Formats: sequence, structure tokens, C-alpha cells
Amino acid sequence: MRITFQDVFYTYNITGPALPSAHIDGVSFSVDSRETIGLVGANGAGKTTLLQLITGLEKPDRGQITVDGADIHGPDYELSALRSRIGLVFQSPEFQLFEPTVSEDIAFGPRNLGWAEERVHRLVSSALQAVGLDAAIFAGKSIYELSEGEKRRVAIAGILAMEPAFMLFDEPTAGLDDSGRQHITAILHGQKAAGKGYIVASHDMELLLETVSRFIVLENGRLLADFPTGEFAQYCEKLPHILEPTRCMRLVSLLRDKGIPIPDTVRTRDALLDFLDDLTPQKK
Amino acid sequence: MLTFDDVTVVYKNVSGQAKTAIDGISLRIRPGEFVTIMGANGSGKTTFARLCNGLIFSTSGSVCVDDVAVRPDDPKAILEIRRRVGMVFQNPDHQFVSTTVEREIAFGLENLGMDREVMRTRVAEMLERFDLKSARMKAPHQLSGGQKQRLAIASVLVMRPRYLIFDEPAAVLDMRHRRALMQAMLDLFHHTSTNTPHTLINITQHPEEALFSNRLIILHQGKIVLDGPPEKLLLQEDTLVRFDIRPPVEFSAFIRLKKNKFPLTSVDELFLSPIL
Ligand SMILES: Nc1ncnc2c1ncn2[C@@H]1O[C@H](COP(=O)(O)OP(=O)(O)OP(=O)(O)O)[C@@H](O)[C@H]1O
Ligand SMILES: [Mg+2]
Repeated sequence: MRITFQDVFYTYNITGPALPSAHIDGVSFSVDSRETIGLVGANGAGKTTLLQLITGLEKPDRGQITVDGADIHGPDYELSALRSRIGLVFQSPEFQLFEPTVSEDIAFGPRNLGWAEERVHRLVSSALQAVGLDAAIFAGKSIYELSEGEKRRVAIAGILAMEPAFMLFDEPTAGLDDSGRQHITAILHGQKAAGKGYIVASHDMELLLETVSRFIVLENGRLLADFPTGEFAQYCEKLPHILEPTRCMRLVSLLRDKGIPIPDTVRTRDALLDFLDDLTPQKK
Repeated sequence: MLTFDDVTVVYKNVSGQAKTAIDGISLRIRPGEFVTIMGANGSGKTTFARLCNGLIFSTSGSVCVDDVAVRPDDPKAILEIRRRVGMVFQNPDHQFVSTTVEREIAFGLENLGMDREVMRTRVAEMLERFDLKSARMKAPHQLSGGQKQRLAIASVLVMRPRYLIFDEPAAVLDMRHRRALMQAMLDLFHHTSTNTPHTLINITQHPEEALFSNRLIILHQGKIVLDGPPEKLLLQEDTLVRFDIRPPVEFSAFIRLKKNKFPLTSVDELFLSPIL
């Protein structure tokens, strides 16, 4: 599946729905649904709006959004079919959770797709496992009895259970503990291994560097840059007001300055710590 | 002083099932302390915060703010406690009451019947500090996630409460705004011109934020499992991972470099300023 934006403009309508939105100011790009993409930009740059435009939740004022060449707002286009293929995980889980219990909430999507109850059951339990929630404790819980991090995990599980071909994540790791973060990383790696892509809007550069192959940078509703992950460091120098090296990247250059020969292949925290673990002890 | 004496919170749901969210916590937080609270999802952090300003009450044990007990049967005391303890929530949507950003910030001051001129200065200061000037006439629900969070913080800070509890307000902020928030906390912390010092509690999943504070408390299944200076606790990597906390990368690197006998005396040598 190929998603294409052609000179898309969108202005938030004051009397419109109360979804958090910003302006989109003439954006064009094209992505294949097998790609893994990081969407970055300051608060208010338009990341959330862009994701909502992709699923047709918001309609552009001007310009066109096409999926495999078909205008998603065209007269014969079935938006509901599109939404079952593209799963969006909202930034605020509240916008997404509405069934009385955790398991019913996760089952809602796949049931709506008309899938057999047995399959729905299986999907619910594997989705709970994927986000690190113990089914014995959480399946029957009311969504009002969840902590914020637990809510975010349930919201992610609900989209996963629909097995969409392409996923959009809005700040998936915000508020998650370390093990939650590791579960998200594993989910993204799993999607990728299954040939399914995603767009992750996030400020968590470490997560993105581990999970995406392409970056799209927004600033004030405009597309400022679009580059492969390998060029991240260069773009930090080009766009210092938006992109900056991660703590890990900063530490690597500091350690190199101290004479520790860290190879270029070491980019992530885990890789750096593994390298330091195996470093030959210094002689007295 | 914030005093917890053997406090337990048990949530009961409609079908009668019970969940112990806070499990026998005793603790003192002295005026002028800057405390960071960390812990896994569901470990009880938000429940702890809500206890401090009377949003919920202990099932057993007592919570006191200075000399006032936080109890459900004393509405006047609860009002007083909410004036003393300001809280910035994890999810700002629940917090807004006004039609514009500017009025939202002024709301609490208006309620106190504050002098117009003072009010205008304080609101302007907050709009400036939290980068909300251009959004001042917008409705709170029209803001982006990060802007909402900044508005929530500004509306609490403008009241200058003595105790301030931040429940993960930085979770959806970009780096620039996270830095501005930490700076705002530091400013409050060092604000010594008032004779009653501010007491700050920052709940976070970002371990490096703990380095701004002078005490780190770790919750695990409703209990306090570690309590001490952040720069000491963050070196206990093996213990921390059991509580789903990962030390900042500099600490993890320091531990490994020390093990392999690299000549380092302090983890500070691995930090470039600024901390964030
Ligand atoms: N209203 C409620 N009814 C029943 N159980 C609840 C309720 N609120 C929270 N809990 C449970 O109490 C425990 C503590 O919740 P709390 O919100 O304090 O955790 P937290 O540490 O803030 O988590 P997070 O990092 O996800 O925000 C969790 O297991 C949660 O599921
Ligand atoms: Mg919480």
C-alpha cells in the first residue's frame, strides 16, 4: 500500500471536533506501508494532525491524500475499510478506550471486523502479552481502574489486535516504564519482521534510532526534512533547533575523546554498554 | 512538612475486588526538599500524589500537610490543603476549566480575588516562560499535547503553592520544553526570597531528571523500596532494573568502565553540561 500526500493544507476549525490539532501547511510526501518511519518535530509542529489526516479522521482543506492512487475523500472511497488496514494509536489513550473491561476493549476492533470469536480471543491474549500486561490480572479489569501507563498499553493492544497492515503511533512510549518501553520496541521489531511498516511520532530519539529507517521532520506544519536514519547525526548539525544527538551519542563522543576506541557500528545504548562490558581491563 | 504514617490505600471496584495501591508507607518530606519519585507502571506513584492533596484518602494510616491532616470529614482542611499543595497531572485534559489559555492561567488567582495589576504581571510571566504567548487567546482544547501540558503547569505555578507535585508532566514534551520545565522547577527550588521554601515532588520515568533533585524515592508494588541521594541510587543498576528502572546511560557506562579499571573517579566526568 502506498500513501501519498499532495500539497496538503489543513487548518484547525475552531468549531470543529475537540481533537488536538495544529495546522498543516502544504505537505507532500509518499510512503510505502512496509517502511518504518520516525515523525519528529517540536510540540505543536503538526505530528498528531498529520497522523489523523492519514487515517481520514481529519479532511484536508486543499490538496489530496491518496492510498494506492485513490483519493481517500473521493465519493466512492470506503474510509472504514482503510481504517481497518491502518491502525492509529492516539497520544491520549482516553480517546480510544470506551468498553467496560480491558479484554472487551481490545476485542472491540477485531469483533467489528467480523472475525470469529475464537480468533478474537486469541488476538486479545497475544496483544495483552505483547504490551506486557498479565491477562490473569488485567483482562477483566475496568478501564477506570488502570494507571496511565496501563491505559496506554491497553490502547496499543487494541490496535495490535486488529492486525493492521500499517500502524501509526503517537508518542507510544510516553509514561511507560523501562519494561513497557522494551515491549514497544519488540512490537515494532515484530511488525517490521512481518513486513508491516509504521510511522512513530515521538520525542524519544533512542526508540526511533532503534526502530525506524527513515525520518520525516515537521516544523510549523511544513515538511522540513526527510532522510534515512543513517544521516541522523548529520541532520543534528543541520537542524540543531529541532534535532539533537541522543545522550548515548553524546557519551560516545565524550568517551572517544577520552581515548576509548568506540567503533562506528555502536549507535544504541545497548550496543554501547555491551562494548564497554567487553572492554579489556586497563593495566595498572 | 509532608508526613505519611503507615499509609495504605486499597481501591475497591464495583464487583468488590480489592487492589492495594499503597502498602504501609511511612515517610517525611521536609520543607525545601526536592524529591523525585520513580517506579514501574502501576507501582502507586499517582496514588501517592493524589493522597498529598486530598484527591483521595488513605484507607488506613494518616497523611499530614504541615499541621493539617488530610481527612475526608474536614472540608475546610481539604480546601486549605489544596491551596498549599499544587498538582500538575499526568493527563492535562482533566484540568482545564476556562475558555482561553490566558483565562485558564488567571483562573486560580481570580478566585483568590488577587489585585488586577499583580495578576496581569504573573500571568504574563507564565505565558512568557512556557512559550504560550502566541496561543493566549486559544481555547485549551485547541492546543497541541505539549502546549496543553505547559498550560497545565503554568496554571498551577502561577498560584505559587508551597508544595508542588508534578505527575509526569514531561512525558509528551519535546527536549526544549522539558528543559524549560526542569529549569522552572530549579528556579522554584532555589527561590529563597520567600521565607517558606518550596517543596517539590517530581514523578517521572526519565531517570536523569532525578539528578536535578536531592532525594530519589523508588516505589514498587505500593511500597518504598529505595530512598536516598539520586547519584548514589542510580549506581545500583542491578537493583534498579528489578523495579523496571534503567539508570541514565552515563551511570551504566561508569559502572562498566570502573569494573574494567578505567581511571575515573566520579560519574560526573561522563556528563557534559547541561544534564538534560
Ligand atoms: N480507581 C482505581 N480502582 C482500582 N484500581 C486502581 C485505580 N486507580 C489505580 N488503580 C490500580 O492501582 C495501582 C497503582 O496505580 P497508580 O495510578 O498509582 O500507578 P502509577 O505508579 O502512577 O502508574 P503509571 O506509571 O502507569 O502512571 C495500579 O495497579 C492500578 O491498576
Ligand atoms: Mg501515574
